[in-house]
Amino acid sequence: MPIGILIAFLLGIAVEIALLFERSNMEPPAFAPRIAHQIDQRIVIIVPCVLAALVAYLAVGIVGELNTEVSLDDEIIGAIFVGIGLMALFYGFISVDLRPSVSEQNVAVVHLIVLISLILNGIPAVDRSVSLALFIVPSLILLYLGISQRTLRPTFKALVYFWYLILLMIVAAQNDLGNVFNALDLTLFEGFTAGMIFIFLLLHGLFFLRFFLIVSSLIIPRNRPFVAPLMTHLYSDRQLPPARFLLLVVIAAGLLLLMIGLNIFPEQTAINLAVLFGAQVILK
Amino acid sequence: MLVDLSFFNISRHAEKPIVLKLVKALFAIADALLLLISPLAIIGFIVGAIAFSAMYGEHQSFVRNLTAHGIVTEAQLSSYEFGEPYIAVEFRDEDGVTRYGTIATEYYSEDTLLKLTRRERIRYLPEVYQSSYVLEDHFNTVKNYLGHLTVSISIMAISWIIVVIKPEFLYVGYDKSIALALPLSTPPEAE
Repeated sequence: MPIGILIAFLLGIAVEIALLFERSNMEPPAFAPRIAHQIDQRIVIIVPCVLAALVAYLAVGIVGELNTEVSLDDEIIGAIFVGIGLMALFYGFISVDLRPSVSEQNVAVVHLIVLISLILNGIPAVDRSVSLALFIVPSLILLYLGISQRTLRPTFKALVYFWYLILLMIVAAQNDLGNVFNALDLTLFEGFTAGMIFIFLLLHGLFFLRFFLIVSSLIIPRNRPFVAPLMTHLYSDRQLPPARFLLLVVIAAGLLLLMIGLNIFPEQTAINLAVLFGAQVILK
Repeated sequence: MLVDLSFFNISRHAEKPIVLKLVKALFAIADALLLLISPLAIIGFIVGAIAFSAMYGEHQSFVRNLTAHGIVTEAQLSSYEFGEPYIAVEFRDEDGVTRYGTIATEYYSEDTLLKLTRRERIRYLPEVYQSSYVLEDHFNTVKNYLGHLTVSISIMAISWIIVVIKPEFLYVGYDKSIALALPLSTPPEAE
């Protein structure tokens, strides 16, 4: 990956962390300056990161090294990604602080986007018709949940949330996240969105393992009450009225198809942006 | 011959509670042991899952590369004893350079290995540093091979059973009320 794209990639990671930080209603630490408690948390994180990225980009540009290829084997780059990995391990496995709460309407929109991506691309090494068949029942259930205004029981919330994590894992498989660093010919914007989706999917991917254990432990009725307090962190009961929700679904699908149809962004970038939009922007 | 137990003051009616108490005690010990090892089981499951995805990904990538870029040639099996994990192989590549490498025997059945001759067709990758080859006539067996996942699947399965029985530690770190409810507790609240 060229250094210029790497800077955009790292900026994408920082911006996404700021968005997750804000969406999860996490408070700044007690030792942070007073101003950090008074202004929007996104600004506290994003503005310095954007400035730092601009300065770094200009500095590297002046030296003429923007297109120099770097890899994870380089010491500094390796150290940066080890730090990101450790942070992801903590926030992925242990803490819920960098994981936005979602409602069934968020899940329904993400579901629709992933369904469109499956129709267009499929999942590597999985038969497309099989994967689409597996989507029929969840599609009907989520449409019903999105339109109805009822509040789900915690156990059902856990199942809906688990399906949401499965959807994100499908997006991760489509993105080939393991090879994101070796992706060729990325533009600055694509590098930026790749950074955003990378950290978002990494955090949710690590949590997927733990949540799989949690959901599967619910087969024993005695374990079910444990999940209720956890779901208050992960799941939001806020719902849009049915008409607005359906309008939003149509707009999300329309925008995605428009982005792909007009070739505004590469297909996978458009899908990634739509997933981030569906998971984080709707209901905010 | 009937044994008179009245001397020990053990009647049929007194025997049942003692056995029950013993069984209950054994269950309590097993319960406590499971609770103690459940954090290890959580870690075991995660490590197993990471190992599973890494090994599965590595094998799939190996097979994909062999399918896309593999070259088929005849090679000499230079040394092999039945039961060994590898067969030593040597052959001349496309450039006429003699290359040495190995074929892993784990992919193949005993029957296949017993029928091997001194010369077999193999599939190899052009990169010189790639020294793992496969038998061309049994390439489909390699493609569908899942045996290398047995260990990670076993670790995941055993860990999963323990965690499903004792899931309390899964919730540590998420919420103080859940953490305080651990470990010898009634659940925090009914649904």
